[in-house]
Amino acid sequence: MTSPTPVLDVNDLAISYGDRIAVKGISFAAMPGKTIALIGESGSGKSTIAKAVIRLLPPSARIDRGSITLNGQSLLAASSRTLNTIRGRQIGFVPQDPGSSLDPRIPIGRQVGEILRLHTSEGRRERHDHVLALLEKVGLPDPGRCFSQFPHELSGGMKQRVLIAIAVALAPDLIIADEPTSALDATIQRQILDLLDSLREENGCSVLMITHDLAIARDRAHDVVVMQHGTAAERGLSDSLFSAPHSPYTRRLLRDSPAFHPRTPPVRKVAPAQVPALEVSNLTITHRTHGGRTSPTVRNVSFTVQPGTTHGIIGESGSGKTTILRCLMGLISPISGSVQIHGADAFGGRPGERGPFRSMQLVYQNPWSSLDPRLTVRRIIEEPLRNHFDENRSWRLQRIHTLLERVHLKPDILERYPSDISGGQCQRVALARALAAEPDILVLDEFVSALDVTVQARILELLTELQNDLGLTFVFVSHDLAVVRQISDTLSIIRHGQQEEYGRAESIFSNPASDYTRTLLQTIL
Amino acid sequence: MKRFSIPSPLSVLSAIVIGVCMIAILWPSALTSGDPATGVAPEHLLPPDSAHWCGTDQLGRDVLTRIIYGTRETLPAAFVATMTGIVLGSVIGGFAALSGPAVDTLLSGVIDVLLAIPELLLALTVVILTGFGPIHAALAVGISQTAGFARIVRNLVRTLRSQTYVEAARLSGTGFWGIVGWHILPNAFRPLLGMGILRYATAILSLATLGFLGYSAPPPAPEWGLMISEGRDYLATAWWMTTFPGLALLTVALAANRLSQAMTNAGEERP
Repeated sequence: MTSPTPVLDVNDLAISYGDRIAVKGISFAAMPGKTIALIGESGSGKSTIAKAVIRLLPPSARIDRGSITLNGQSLLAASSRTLNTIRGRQIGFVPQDPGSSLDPRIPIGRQVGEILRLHTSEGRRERHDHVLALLEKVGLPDPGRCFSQFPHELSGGMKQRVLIAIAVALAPDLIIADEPTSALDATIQRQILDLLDSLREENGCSVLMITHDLAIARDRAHDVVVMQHGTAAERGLSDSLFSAPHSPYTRRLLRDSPAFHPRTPPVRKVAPAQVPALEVSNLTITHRTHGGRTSPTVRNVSFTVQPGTTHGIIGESGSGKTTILRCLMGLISPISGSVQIHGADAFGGRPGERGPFRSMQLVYQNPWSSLDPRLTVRRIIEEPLRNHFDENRSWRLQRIHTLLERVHLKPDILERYPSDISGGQCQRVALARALAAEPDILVLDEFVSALDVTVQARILELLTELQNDLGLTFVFVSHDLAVVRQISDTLSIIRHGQQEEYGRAESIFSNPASDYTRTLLQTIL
Repeated sequence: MKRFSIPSPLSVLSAIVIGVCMIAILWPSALTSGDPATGVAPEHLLPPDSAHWCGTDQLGRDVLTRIIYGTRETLPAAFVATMTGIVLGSVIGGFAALSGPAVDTLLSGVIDVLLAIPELLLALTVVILTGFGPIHAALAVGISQTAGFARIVRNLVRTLRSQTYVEAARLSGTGFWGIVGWHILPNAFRPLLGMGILRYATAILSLATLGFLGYSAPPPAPEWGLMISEGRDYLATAWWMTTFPGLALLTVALAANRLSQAMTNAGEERP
């Protein structure tokens, strides 16, 4: 059988930034009508390759050797004038963050029309119709209205559709999608990927997908290249690679990825007669919008968490899960309903009093922004120790060392700044800071979402260990169903500020009651 | 871990300029042997030559000597002006950002009104109300800069206050003053320093303007603005009397500007 000529042929490509080598000799080929996925963790060099293909590398990057050929034409030798005709016409690019990839002050229609204006000789009228057809093709409801709307009037998923419309406007042979769905909610992700698939089949073009999400690669790609430290750890057909991985790195990735390895949490025997660690009943919270009007963002949410268990709160962005969490921490007061911490009413005391909240600590989503950049790790962990314990310096230092040991960090990290340590280490420091106040409830806000899967897996192991050793109670807030499934005993699913479902995790997963939960479950199965 | 990067040649040059000015302020006699106040009458209005690098003025005083001694008049006064602006501005802006919305709205309104008045006009008003003289001129320039600092400090503190790490500190039990002392002041320091140096350059120019108009030190003080003003009468015959003080003013202002930029860039390198 003669193989068809590849659309894109990358051969022995090596790229370096100054002294640091980012990509060391990568080769792959994108076949027409097929999707090839580059997967890897952050820093593995996958985005650098995507940028090299469209020749938009930053000036500090240097291509050391290798070739990139598109339809038999060398891209590395092409002049910038030639490249301008190739970009858009032969290569379409779908960027990662739809929020910042559209010009906020230009209406959608003109932004889509721009690529037609640059590359075709279509007249104004013709172009208008073409844009409408494109907007319809990518499944935007009411293309006519969309045409004159501004980016801020569209949701994230709709913006991504607009960007895809721009990418496919001239039916290019190659579409590069750089993490096309990582900024989107799970249910939207699926629709966008379906759209990309159908466009690929329709146009017979090739898709180069850059992703860190193994499940997406498995479901959508025909060929997969697993990247590690700038080299290809493994390369092969999607089916065989995921069912029988060869390289130890791929095997580790698959083992650590929650979507591939649903670990059911150990069923704990908890005597329900005890006073629950946290009891939330009929919680309703309103937000003041500008104009003084109030609208409830969270309505009638109730759940009970027994000591030593984990309660997962799942919701997409804007569902109100962060509002619930801020209320639990006493940062905002509810309009009605109650929060009881170990049987004591959290909002019963004087306003501003943090008494009952002390046994509860919050750990944030973003590893870097929750640590003061001007303080060393030692001072960060020392802060709550100063606040809560009336002890001397040497006692504090000893506590800091004990806490570091708890979260498996070496003492040499103490005098370093948050910007000098990795995301996983930052989250461990944040965890140590939270544990310093000796809480028995930890509230974790999207705790592992910003981390790579292998780091994520280690941190989740650490959480389980802490829970077993210290008898901690966790409230785990996340949009990532796969992660929550790994560690939760009980579960709340929040949508539009209301509790869609609440109950034991295994019963929800085996027997979802609402349509919404079923849709969510489909995205990870 | 890299905390300091190599500065650019321009920044080094700027630092040298400021350093020379420091020496001129502290030990002016190390740079010149002359006396700024007494002239040699027969040697008046001499063009620049090897004995008088910048020429002499109408009373036979060496212009270079007067420029060097002039640093003592202008630069410390500009420092006093900027410090006045920073301290008053930080107090007002910090207070606005850390108090409730009512106080914030009120103070922001006052700041906006002050910002609407041209700085020089405000400085002139203050100096006319309080009386002439170098100290009064410095304070007047400082007061005219207060509104600008207050606006920046207010926004800076409000941004810092909404940072996740500040909320995290609150949740770990840190009180109000702990948050201000541990988190807000250290993080606000560097942007404020960069801003201060930038405004220092403006203060030098404003003070020279006041001196030029005769509201600062009276003659025979070698104040740069005053020197330019005196040289104006001889502009057609003795260009050096206005050019060299003007150049000195320009060089110092540019150097301070450049240093402020280097400071801001260095601050941006660390997230």
